[in-house]
Amino acid sequence: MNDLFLLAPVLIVTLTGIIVLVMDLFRSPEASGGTHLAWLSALGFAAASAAAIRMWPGSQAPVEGWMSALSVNAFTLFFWILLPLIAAFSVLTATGFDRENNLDHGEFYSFHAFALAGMMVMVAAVELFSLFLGLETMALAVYALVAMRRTSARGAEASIKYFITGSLASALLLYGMVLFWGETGTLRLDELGRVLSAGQCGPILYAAAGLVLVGFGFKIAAVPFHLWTPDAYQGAPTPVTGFMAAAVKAASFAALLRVVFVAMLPELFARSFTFVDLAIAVAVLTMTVGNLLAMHQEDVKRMLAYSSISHAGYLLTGLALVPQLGSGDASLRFVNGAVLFYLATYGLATLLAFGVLARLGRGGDESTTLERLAGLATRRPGLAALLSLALLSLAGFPPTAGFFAKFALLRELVVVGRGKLTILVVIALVNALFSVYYYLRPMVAMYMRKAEGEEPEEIVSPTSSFALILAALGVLVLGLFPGRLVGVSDQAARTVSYKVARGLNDGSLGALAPFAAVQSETDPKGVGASAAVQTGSGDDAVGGR
Amino acid sequence: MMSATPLSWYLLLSFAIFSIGLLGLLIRRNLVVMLMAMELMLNGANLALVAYARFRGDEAGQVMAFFVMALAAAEAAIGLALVLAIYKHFKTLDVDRISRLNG
Amino acid sequence: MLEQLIEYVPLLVGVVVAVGTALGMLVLNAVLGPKRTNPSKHEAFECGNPSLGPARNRFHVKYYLVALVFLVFDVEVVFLLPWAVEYRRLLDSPLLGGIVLLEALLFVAVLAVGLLYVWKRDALRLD
Repeated sequence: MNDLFLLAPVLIVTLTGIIVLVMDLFRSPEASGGTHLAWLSALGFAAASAAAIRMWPGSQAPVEGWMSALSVNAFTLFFWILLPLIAAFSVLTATGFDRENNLDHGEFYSFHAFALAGMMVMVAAVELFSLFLGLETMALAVYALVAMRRTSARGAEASIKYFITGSLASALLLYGMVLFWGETGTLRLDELGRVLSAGQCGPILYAAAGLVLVGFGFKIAAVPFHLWTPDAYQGAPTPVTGFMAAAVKAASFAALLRVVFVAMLPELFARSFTFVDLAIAVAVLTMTVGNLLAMHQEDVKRMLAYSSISHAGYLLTGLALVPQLGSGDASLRFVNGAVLFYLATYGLATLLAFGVLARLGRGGDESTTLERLAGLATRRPGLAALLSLALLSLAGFPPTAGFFAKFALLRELVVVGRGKLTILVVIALVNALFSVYYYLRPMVAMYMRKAEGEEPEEIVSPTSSFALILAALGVLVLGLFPGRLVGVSDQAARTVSYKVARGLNDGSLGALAPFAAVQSETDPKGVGASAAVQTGSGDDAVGGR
Repeated sequence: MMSATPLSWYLLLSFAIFSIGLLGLLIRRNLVVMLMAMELMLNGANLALVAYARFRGDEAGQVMAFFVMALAAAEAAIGLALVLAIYKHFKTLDVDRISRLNG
Repeated sequence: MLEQLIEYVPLLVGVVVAVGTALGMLVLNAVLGPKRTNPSKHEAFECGNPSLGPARNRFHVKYYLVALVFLVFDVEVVFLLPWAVEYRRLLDSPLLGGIVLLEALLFVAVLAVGLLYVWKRDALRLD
């Protein structure tokens, strides 16, 4: 039963979804608007997030695993805090939009809850099949969310395209998993890691690894597999696009990080043709292609879709950026905290941007072009300011969270790469500079152009404004005082790790403690140093069985 | 009791079914046919699961196959609903002619 | 492996001959046969009567909804069957003994919420 309490955040979210669905059934037909349902779901999500915060390990040993399929450690909890918050903001910014577009409130909000529950299982899974089930729960709900606007042909088109690529990805992932299970007899990530690094890696296992990675490539929209993204993002209802860009991406990335670090890297790192080279190549391609295609988009939603591809490129460097404690045979490699920090701040800024864009959808108006934004600064100065803040954060301008995230990631590239990743640093920098151009275009339209002809109207929704202002405060606060979140993401990231050495005793990290000092250089507040010492106890790869 | 058919034959068949589904999904342009191809892929994976489960003597594979079946049904339900929505708006099921989003 | 396969050689020959004959006939027919066509040759053959419209009649779109709902609920039973088979053994298990019935009831309750939703939204109404 204790295990059930560990699952409390997921259960709260699921229950919220069911309650919202049933409440909508018994709503009187003349009562219009679903704002109370939005608040109810947001409160449920916030409660889940709060429960996860309560479970945060702090200085004690992380919480143990659940039935060997899920593990509730700091990494899991980081996303159990982040994802419900994203979902809560997302449903709140959807109020008004859902009314104007005649969305079915009950279904709209409960699908958010079900997608969120799937994501939370997915990020907690330390076993491939649970991960797959979580992913599918999420994906099926999101397909439906994308198609929510029934009168919109674009919505249907976006959804079918998303559905086809999404199910292709799931099928590939599933087949890869089946091969893993058949050949090794286990789907536990840590056991897979051990089997793979034992050096009995036949062609079938390589095929399996390839299938799983390609499946994830589709989910996170890495470049050869990104073609669905712009259409799906543009055609989806705008608040849903925000949800997809922030939450779906974060959850998929979390799962990918775990699979790669715990199950695959031990083997792949040992090869002469390293997985790292491949990850770097994909990262570079993804950020560059995303940026280049974003340049000339006239539709802001589509532009942000391409921008989200390029952000996935920055995040993918996290697969190459593997900090380690110690050296040679006695080292421990783990996920880079900067990646988690980037995911959180990127999610916040993206939500803010799409939240503002959602306000343009007055009367089911689907236009989100640059022209549509013209004159917004005089009509609705507040919205214009919020959108500008979001774009500045995405571009990485100083007082915002996006700046610090990019800065931290690039610094990690320099520090962890030990000079070997210089080209990657330069490419990432150039990309960041070029991206400023397209992020500034909507701002030019808002502040410098006048609306031609009749002035369009925006949706009025106090609830949405409230959520937007909160998100904006988050972007600013995280930009000015990033220390706390840096510490937290560092602590979370360190629980997903593996040991390079074989036959090293569990929890023998005490001997490596001196190296923690080296690591803390990358951490402005020095939180990492204390976090580093307690790494051994709760990570997926080493302990917890 | 165990038949003489070696595991690799089942795997080859499952791989063939999976590949037919994959090719069908990539080549065919009719949405309903593409949905069928998707189901083929999932069933290919299922066959491999069940075959492995039999040969390893591990029932976990069969349980997973149940989950995949339920999932395939859910996917088919959503897919068919989307296909209906597409037909309502576009009056065609040819994916190449479904393009209102600028790309 | 090879010895086992040799047994099947006659079967292989049979298959080759059968396929070869069928293909040969088709090819010969296409090459040698006279080609005369008229519109009535392309009509569906209905025992001499003129055909009445297309053979693929449309169902009412509501029917699809019922079919979709059936599809989902039908497959969910797949989880109850193994549960029922293992029920007695699970009752004796120290870990799950107390909650084994509860778990299935919970599962059915979630399904029931789905059914309630479908029902209240009039998806089961066919008229």
